Amino acid sequence: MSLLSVDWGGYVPVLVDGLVKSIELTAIGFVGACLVGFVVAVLRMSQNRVINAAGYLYTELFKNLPIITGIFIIYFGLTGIGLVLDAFTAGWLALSLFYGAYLAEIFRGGLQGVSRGQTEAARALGLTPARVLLTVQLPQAVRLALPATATMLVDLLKGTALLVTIGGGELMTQATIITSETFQPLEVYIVIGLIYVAMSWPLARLAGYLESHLREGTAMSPTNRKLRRITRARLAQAATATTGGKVGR
Amino acid sequence: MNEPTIQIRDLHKSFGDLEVLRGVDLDVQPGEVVAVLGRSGSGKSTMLRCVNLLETPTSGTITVGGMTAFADRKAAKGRDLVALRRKVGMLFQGLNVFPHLSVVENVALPMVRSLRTGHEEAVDTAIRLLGKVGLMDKALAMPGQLSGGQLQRVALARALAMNPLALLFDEPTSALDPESTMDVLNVMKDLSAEGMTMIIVTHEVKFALDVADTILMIADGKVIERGTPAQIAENPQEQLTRKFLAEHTKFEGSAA
Repeated sequence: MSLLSVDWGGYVPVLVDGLVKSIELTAIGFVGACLVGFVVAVLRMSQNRVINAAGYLYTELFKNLPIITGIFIIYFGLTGIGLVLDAFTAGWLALSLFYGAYLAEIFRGGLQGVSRGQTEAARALGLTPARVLLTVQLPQAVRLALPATATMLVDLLKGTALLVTIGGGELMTQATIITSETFQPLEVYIVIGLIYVAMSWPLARLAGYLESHLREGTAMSPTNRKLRRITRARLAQAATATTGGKVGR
Repeated sequence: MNEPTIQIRDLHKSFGDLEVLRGVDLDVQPGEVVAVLGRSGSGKSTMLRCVNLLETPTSGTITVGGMTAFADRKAAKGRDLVALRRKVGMLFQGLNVFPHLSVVENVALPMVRSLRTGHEEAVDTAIRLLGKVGLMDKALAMPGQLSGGQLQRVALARALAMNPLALLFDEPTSALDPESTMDVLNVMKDLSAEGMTMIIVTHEVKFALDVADTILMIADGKVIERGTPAQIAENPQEQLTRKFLAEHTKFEGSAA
């Protein structure tokens, strides 16, 4: 008996198609979730009670609603009011709305994690409010929020599998189609599962790599890198000048 | 035409029902070093924070370098506020060096972002100022690798990089160990010798008496006594000043 009983070679085009859809859904869904998350995080940090409450209601609603229910409301439910979305659009929209709520909490934690002393020092230096946000608050908030955000990205990738329920065309949907043709659910779902692992795991590793680099102080922006480069050159000049032209270190 | 660098008139500040400042007047002449003494909660930090509008006064007037920071219950806003803050550098009790930027970026980046200084020039200035505070070899280090005293000196270099008219110090050595404190105080002393205009809120009484031209004693939101270090140290007029000086020189005195 062969180890594999399904003729996988014949399913390669189908799998590639599903894989591409899964990656597209993850990418579009995550970008959407980041935008939603950022906006809601800003709402949640507003001093205005009404605006703040709007942000609060949004996060609480989506945190407490099962994703699958949300997907069904968007895909099946909205047809009731004449809004017909294809499965792919309904899919990334649902993922953006739900993961946006999770990310909003993470982003808010990141922004609030930057101490008041930091922003005060930046303001005292005469930086404009926009510069305080861009130069001091956001870079630190990103570093604080990065690990949890990366976890959400991996979770969102796995969450695309939920779209099997509306025939989203992604990997899991393809798996059910292959299973119905081959009657080999164990083998099919294990193989598909391994493909998900093969995608998720490097993604998580990449996030960990990025995180450790940021922690060690790797410069993020070209300006910062340029300032360091000039400094390195100047210090080297100074070193050779004091050692009488000898090659330093 | 010797206009004071910083002028404070009848400054009041309340937080809700709590009246923290109750009519403070102060003129700081160019090159003058004013040390502000007083117990915690006397309002001395609040007064300092009103100068660059980190706190908005309730009433009074403040001018910095001829520019109105606060008058007629209105504070400078927008461009004026930013311009005002560039005129005065500030050092805080907390160590507020930006942790995500290397030491040289901490000093050079605000110049690039706020004064639109060229990159090369900003780095040259940063290296010169880091040399001045004794940290040129740490230019490429990250703040996490530095001690408290070193961080405070980076913050000082960062403030100096904006080429301010005056510097405000809000208990800059309170969070430091004695050795680091000495390092920071020595740099401050050098600055005063170079003619930098400074207001120093501190608990380091000996340092204040040594470096300041004028001592201001604040209690309950009011200036209760002001004079030269000699006047304050040798012949304090107020009972509270006497008591404060006795408390703050007790251990040093017993060692002598």
